[in-house]
Amino acid sequence: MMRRLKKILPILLSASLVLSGMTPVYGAEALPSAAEETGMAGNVTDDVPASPVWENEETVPADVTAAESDPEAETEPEAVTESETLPESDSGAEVVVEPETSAETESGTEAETGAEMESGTETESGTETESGTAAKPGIAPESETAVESETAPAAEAETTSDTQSDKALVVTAPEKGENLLGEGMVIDNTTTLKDGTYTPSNFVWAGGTGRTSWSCPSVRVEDGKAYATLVISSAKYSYFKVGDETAEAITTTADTEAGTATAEVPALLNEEMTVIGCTTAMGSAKEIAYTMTITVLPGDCDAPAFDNSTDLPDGTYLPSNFGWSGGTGRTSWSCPSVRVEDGKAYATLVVSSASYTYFKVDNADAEPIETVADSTAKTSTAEVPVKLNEMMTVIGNTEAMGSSREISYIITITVTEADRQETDPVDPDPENPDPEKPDPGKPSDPAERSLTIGTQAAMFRIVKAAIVTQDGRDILKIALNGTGYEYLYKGVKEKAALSAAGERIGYQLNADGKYTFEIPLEAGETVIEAAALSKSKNAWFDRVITLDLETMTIMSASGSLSGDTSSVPDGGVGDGGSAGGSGDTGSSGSTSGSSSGGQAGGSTSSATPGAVDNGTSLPDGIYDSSRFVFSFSGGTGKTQITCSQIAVRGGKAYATIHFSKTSGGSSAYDRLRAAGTEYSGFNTFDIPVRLNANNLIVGRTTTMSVPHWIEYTLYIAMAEPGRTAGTGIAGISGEMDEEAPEITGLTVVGEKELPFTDMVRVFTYEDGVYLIEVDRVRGTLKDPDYEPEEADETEDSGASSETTGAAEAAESDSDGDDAVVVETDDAVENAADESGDSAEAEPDKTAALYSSDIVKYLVVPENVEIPAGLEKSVIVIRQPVDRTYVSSAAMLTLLEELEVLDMVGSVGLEAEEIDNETVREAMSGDEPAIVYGGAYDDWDLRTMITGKTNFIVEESAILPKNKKTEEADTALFERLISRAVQLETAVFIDRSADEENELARAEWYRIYGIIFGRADEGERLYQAVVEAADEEEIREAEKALRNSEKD
Amino acid sequence: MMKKKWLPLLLAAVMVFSVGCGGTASAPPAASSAETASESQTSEVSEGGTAESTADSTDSEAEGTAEGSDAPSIAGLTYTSEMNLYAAKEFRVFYYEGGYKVLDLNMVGQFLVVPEGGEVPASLPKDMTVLLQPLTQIYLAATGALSFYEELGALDAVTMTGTNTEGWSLASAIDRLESGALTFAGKYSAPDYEMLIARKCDLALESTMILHAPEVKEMLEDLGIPVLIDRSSYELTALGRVEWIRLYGALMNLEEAAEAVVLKQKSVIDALDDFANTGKTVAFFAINSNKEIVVRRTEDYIPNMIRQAGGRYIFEDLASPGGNSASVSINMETFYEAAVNADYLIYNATIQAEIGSIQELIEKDELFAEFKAVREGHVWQVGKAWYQSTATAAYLVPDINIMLTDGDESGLVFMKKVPAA
Repeated sequence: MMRRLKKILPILLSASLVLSGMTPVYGAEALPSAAEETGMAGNVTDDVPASPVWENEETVPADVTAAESDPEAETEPEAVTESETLPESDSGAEVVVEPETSAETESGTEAETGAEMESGTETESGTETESGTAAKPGIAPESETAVESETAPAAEAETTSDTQSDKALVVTAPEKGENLLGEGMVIDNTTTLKDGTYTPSNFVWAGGTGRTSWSCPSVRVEDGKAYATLVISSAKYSYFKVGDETAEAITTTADTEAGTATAEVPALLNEEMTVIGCTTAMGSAKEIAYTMTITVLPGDCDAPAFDNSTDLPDGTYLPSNFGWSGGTGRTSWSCPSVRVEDGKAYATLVVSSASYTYFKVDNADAEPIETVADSTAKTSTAEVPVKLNEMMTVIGNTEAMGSSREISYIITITVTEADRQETDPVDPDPENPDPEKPDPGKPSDPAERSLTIGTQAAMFRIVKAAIVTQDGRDILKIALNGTGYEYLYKGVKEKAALSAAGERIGYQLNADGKYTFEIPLEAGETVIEAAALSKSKNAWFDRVITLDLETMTIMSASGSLSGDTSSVPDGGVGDGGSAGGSGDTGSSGSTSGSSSGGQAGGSTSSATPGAVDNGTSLPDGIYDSSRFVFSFSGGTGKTQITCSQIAVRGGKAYATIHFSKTSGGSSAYDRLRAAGTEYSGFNTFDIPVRLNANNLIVGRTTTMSVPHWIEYTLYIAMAEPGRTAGTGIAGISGEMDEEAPEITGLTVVGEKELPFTDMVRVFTYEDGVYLIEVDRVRGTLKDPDYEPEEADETEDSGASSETTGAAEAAESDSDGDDAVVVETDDAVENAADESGDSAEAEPDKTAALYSSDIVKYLVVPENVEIPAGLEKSVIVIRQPVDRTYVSSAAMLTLLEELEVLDMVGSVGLEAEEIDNETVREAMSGDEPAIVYGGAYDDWDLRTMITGKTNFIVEESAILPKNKKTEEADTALFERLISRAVQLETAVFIDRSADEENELARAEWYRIYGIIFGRADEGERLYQAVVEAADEEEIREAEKALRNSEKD
Repeated sequence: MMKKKWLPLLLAAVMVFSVGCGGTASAPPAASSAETASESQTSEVSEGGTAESTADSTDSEAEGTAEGSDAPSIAGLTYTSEMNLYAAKEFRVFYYEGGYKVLDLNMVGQFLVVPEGGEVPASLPKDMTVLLQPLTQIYLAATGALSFYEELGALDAVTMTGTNTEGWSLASAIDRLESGALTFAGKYSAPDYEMLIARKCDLALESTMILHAPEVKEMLEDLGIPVLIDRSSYELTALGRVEWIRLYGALMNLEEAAEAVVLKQKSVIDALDDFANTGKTVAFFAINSNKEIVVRRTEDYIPNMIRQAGGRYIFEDLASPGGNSASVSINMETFYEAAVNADYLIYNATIQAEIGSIQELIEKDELFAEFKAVREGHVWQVGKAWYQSTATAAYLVPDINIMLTDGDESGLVFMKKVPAA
C-alpha cells in the first residue's frame, strides 16, 4: 500500500494543487466581483472593449488568394461558373454592380471579397458591413445585400466553399490523427465559419454494404479550414480518403473494444462529399466509397477558438499593468512585453519557476505552447496569444511536483496605445536623459486653477484648493487642515453611511502632510454637498463646499444645506469593516501613534488611499534596486515589504512590491488598496507610486480566518531630474558621523559647528529637520578612558533605591526568561499577530536604537513629512514637544532660560525639592501646569500617560558610572527605555551636566533651543556665554576638547 | 475504565507537583495516585524554576496554616480551607477567614483576593499580586475567558477587550462591542494604556500570548494593573478546562454558580463512564493556511474527550516536536497514513472557516476522497462557537458520543455533520 501510495501521492497532491488552484481562495464569485471591483488589472474595467470583431485575416491570406484567383486552376467546370457567381451572393452588391468582372478583377475583388465575405457572415457585428461599405464608397445597396446574405447563410456557405474548391490551398496539417495533408488534397475544406469546434446539426451518409455505419461527432475549424471527425463502425478500416481515390490516405485510429475506426479529415461542410474507406475486414484491403453530408451551421459552435485580435496598432508594447491570480501562491507571473502583429496580440509571459514546461491559453484543450526555462533566474517564459484588457485564463504545466500538473491562472494584461514602444526599453542613465525626450521637469499636470481660501468652517478647514481638468472633467482638489476625516463622500451623510468603499473618496498625503481629496465636479457645479467620515467617531457629518467661480474662491460650512449638524454612524463597508476603534465613546484615544504607522492591532483598516500623482520626470524604463532606496513602516514588524523595481512608463512611476514574513517565508496578501484602486494578486503587486513621498497602502492578509486589512506606508527615494532628494545611501551608522549623513528623503544642509563639545553633534537638513547625535558612553563605565570615582557626585540621590528598583527590573526580566513560553490554543490571539504561527513578538526596534554608543535623534517640525520607515533607524522627536518630562532641576533652569517652561508638563522632583520659584508656582494650585512625574529612576507612568507626556529628558545619572551599581543602572536604563518606547515617547539623554566647563555646557542651549523650537534664543544664550568668557577660559575649553579627543 | 482516566490525570498531576513542593500535597481526590507519580518525573513540560506555583517550604510552617496544607501563610490571615476541585490541575484556590482568598495558578503565580473594604496585609509572600474586590473594570485579552463570565452572569465586569469585533464569535461579545458595553482597548501586545488608566482598569486578564510581550506585562504591572494569565487551555481534560470557571467564580464571589456549571457537565460526562469504548477511530484536524494538517498531540484534552466519549484518537503516540504546543502540524502524507482508515473525521473549524460540504473538503485536497470516513459520509465539524465557549466546552464529549453512536442529532451542542455536497 505504501508503495502505491508513494506513487500516487505526488499525482494526487499535484491534482489537489490544481484543484486548489482552480478553487480561488476568494471563492468562485471572486472573479466576477474582481471584475466589478476593477480588481484584476488595476484598471477600471468598465472600459473593456465591446466583444472584439472577428477578423481573422488569415482565413484568406492575400497572397494565397491572389495565387488562386485563377479560376481555371484545377476545378470542375461547375465550380468555375460558380466562382463567377460566388462573389455575387457573398459580397452581394459588388457583383451586381460589376457583373462583368474579369478573372483578375475577381481575384482582386475576391481579395477584398475575402474581407467582405467575412463582413457578410459577420453581420452580427454591423461594423464589418460598414467596412465593406467603406471599401466601395457610394454603393448603398451593399448593405442590403449584406442583409440578404445574412438571411441565407447556408447558401452562402455553400457557395463559399464552392468558390474555393477551385483553389489548391496549402493547409496546415492538423495534429490529430497523424494526417499528412498537402498535395493529394482533392477537396477544398475552406469554410467561412469561425474557428472553433462545432457539433454538426445534421449528418447523413450513404453507400457501402450496409454492414457499417458512420457518425460525425464533431467538426473543427481552424484558420478557416474545416476538419471533421469521422467514425466508422468497424475497427478494420485502416484509412479514409476524402474526395476520390487519388486523395491522400488518412490513417485511422482503431478502437477494437468499441469496434470503431476514427480519423479527423478535411471536410466539406453543408454539401455532399465522397469519403472512401479502406477495409481490411475481408482479407485483402478494399476501398469502399461513401457519400456524406455534414451540416454545420454557425450556431453549432461549441467553443469558439481563442480570439487574440486587438485594435491596437502593430508594434511592441510595455503593459501599463498586469494582474494575475490563481495557483497555490508559490509562483508569480509577470508580463514584460506584448507584441501586436497583424492585429493579433501576443504576450511574453514569465512564471517564477523553471519547471513550467508549457502554457496553454484559455482552456485545457488548447495547444500547449512550449516554454524556455532559465534555471538561474528560475523562470519559464513563452509568448502566447492573449486577450488584452480583460481577464483570461492561462494554464501552466509544471513538472515541479514529480509529474506533470496543469495549474490554472487568471491574468489581465493592460495595454493601451500609450504603452507602445519603438524599441525595447533600455535602462537609461539619468545623467544623460534621452535627448529626444524633452525633460518636462515636473510632470505635466493638467491645467490646475487654484482657488483662494474664503470663509472656512472650523470643523472643515480647507487650506489649499484647486480645480483640475482631466479628460474633460473638472475635479476639485482640496487639502484639509485637519487629519480627522478619513473619507469624503459626494452626497448627504445618510447616503454616505451606506455607501460602498468604491464610492468613497479616500485621501492622499500631500507634501505638507495634509490630507487631500479629489471631488469630481459637474459642469457649473458651485455648491457641493459632501459628507465627511470622522475617524474617531466613525460617523459621517454633512459639509457644504461652495465655489465662487468668478472670484475663484472656495468656502466651507459645517452641517447640511438645511443646517443639520447631526451625524450618522458609518453603516459598514463590507470587507473593510468599520474603522478600528471604540463604538460609541468616540475616544479611541489609542496611543499607537501615527508616526510609527502602527495600528492598534486586532482591528482592520478601512482606509482607501486615494489616487496618486505618480508623474515623474525620470525617463521611461525599468530601474532596479540599485537605483532607489525603499523603506516602509506599518504593521507589527512580522511582515516586511520589499521593492524589486521601479518602472516608469509614459512618465508615470510604478513600483513592484512584495510582501513576505520578516522571519522568512511567504505571506498571504491577496488584495491591496493603493492609489485609488484595489488590486488582486498574491504578495506581489505593481502599483503607481509617488516617488520621494510617503504612499499609503492597505494590504489584505488572509492568514487568519477573517481577512485583515493592514496599513503600511511606503517611501521610495529616487533621484529625479531637477530634484535634489537624498538618494542612494540610506542610513545612519552607529558611530558619531563626521559629516551629515545622507538620509533617505532628506536634503542635507550642513553641520552645526559646536566648538566646545564633542559629546554631541548636530547636522541640519532642509525643512527644519535636525539630526542630533549624543554620545552615551563618554564619561561612563563603557568609555574605555573613563576612570570611575568612588563616590558619585552627580545628582543621583537615591542610589540605594536604584538597586532595589534595578534588582526588581532584573528580576522581572528573568521572570520573563524563566516562564515557559508555549503556544496556546488562543488561536485568535495568535492569528492577530498577522501570521498563523505564534512567533516570538518582534523586540521593538526603537528600543535597540538607544543601545548604541551614539544615540541619534531626528528633530522633525510638526507638519514635515518624513519617509516611512525612517523611524527604524533613528529616534524621532516630533515637534512641538510641549508636554515634556524633565528629570533634573538643572534642566528646569536651562529651559526656563530658554523661555520654554510652558512646554514642561512634569518633573522628576517634588515641589519641595525645587528651588525655582516659577516652577513651584506652576506646581501649585488645583490644576497645576507642572506635576510631579516620579523621580528620574522611578517614573510615575500613570501620570505620564494621563498627562500625555510626549518627550522625556533624562539626566545622565541613568548611565552607568559607578562600578557598584553598573548592573542595576543598565537594567534600569533598559527598563525605562522599554517603558518610553511603549509610550511612543523619545527619551533624550542630557549630557550637559557632564560637560567640564561652562562653554561646553553653553553649547547645550543650542541643542535644547533646537529641540524646543527656540533655536534663536538658544543661539543668543550661547553667544552670551562665549562673549562673557575671557581668552583664558576659551583656551582651556578648547584644550579640554583636544585633550579628550586625544584620548 | 480507570485506565482511561488515569493516564492524563497522572501526567497532569506530575506537571503540577514536579515543581518541588516542600510539604506533602493534600491533593484533590481524583489524583491521589499523583503523589507516587510525582517522584517519577516523566513530565514533558520543563518547569520554570520559580517558586511561584506552590508554597515555599520556608512558609509552610508559619502560623495560620493547617498542617500539611500548601496554602501560603500570610501574616494576619487565617487559612480555612481549599477549593475541592473535580478535574482542574492548573490552579488551586485557598480560602482564608474574612473573605480573603489566594488563587494559585500553576506557572503564573499567586494572587491575593482582598474582599471589598478589606485591608491589604502588610507583608505578603514574595511576588503575590493583590486583587482588590470588587473587580469591575476588567481588560480581557484572553478570548476564551469571556465565556466563563458569560456563564457566571458577570459580563458587566468585563469592560475592555483586546480583541475587536471580527475576532469574536461569541454573540454576547459582539453585541456588547456594538452597544458600547464592551470597548476595544488595543490588542494584548499594544494595549491602550491611556484608556486602561482612564477607566481605572483593575485587572488585565491575559492569555499566554502575553509571555511573548513581556515588556507589556511589565508596563501593566508598573502601572499598577494586575495581570492574571488564563491557562485553562493547558488542562488536559474537558472538565478541567471548564472548571476554570470556578477560579473566576472565586474572583467574582460567584462560587456557587460556577460550581453548578461544572457539575452539570460533569454529570453528562460521568454518564458516559460505563459506556464501552466503541473502538472506532476518530481524527480531529484543521487545515492551516500553509495547507498543513493541524492535529492535536496525543496528550491533549481533545483526544481525551474522544476517549471519554467512547472513541479512539488516531494518533497513539504523537508528541509535539520541540515545545509544548497542543497542536502539531503535519503534512498531508503523514496525516493520510494515520487517518485514511479512520472511521470518523472531525474537522476543526474553530480557526479557519467552516466547510459547507464534504465536497469542499475534497477540494482542499483531493486525497480526502480516499478517506474511509469521507467515503462513508462520517465527516463532522466543530464550529467557531465552541472555541470561545470555554465554559461549556465539555459538552463536546456527549457530542462526540452522539456521533459515534448515530445518536439523536438534536442533542448536539457544538458539532455538526458535514453534508456530502
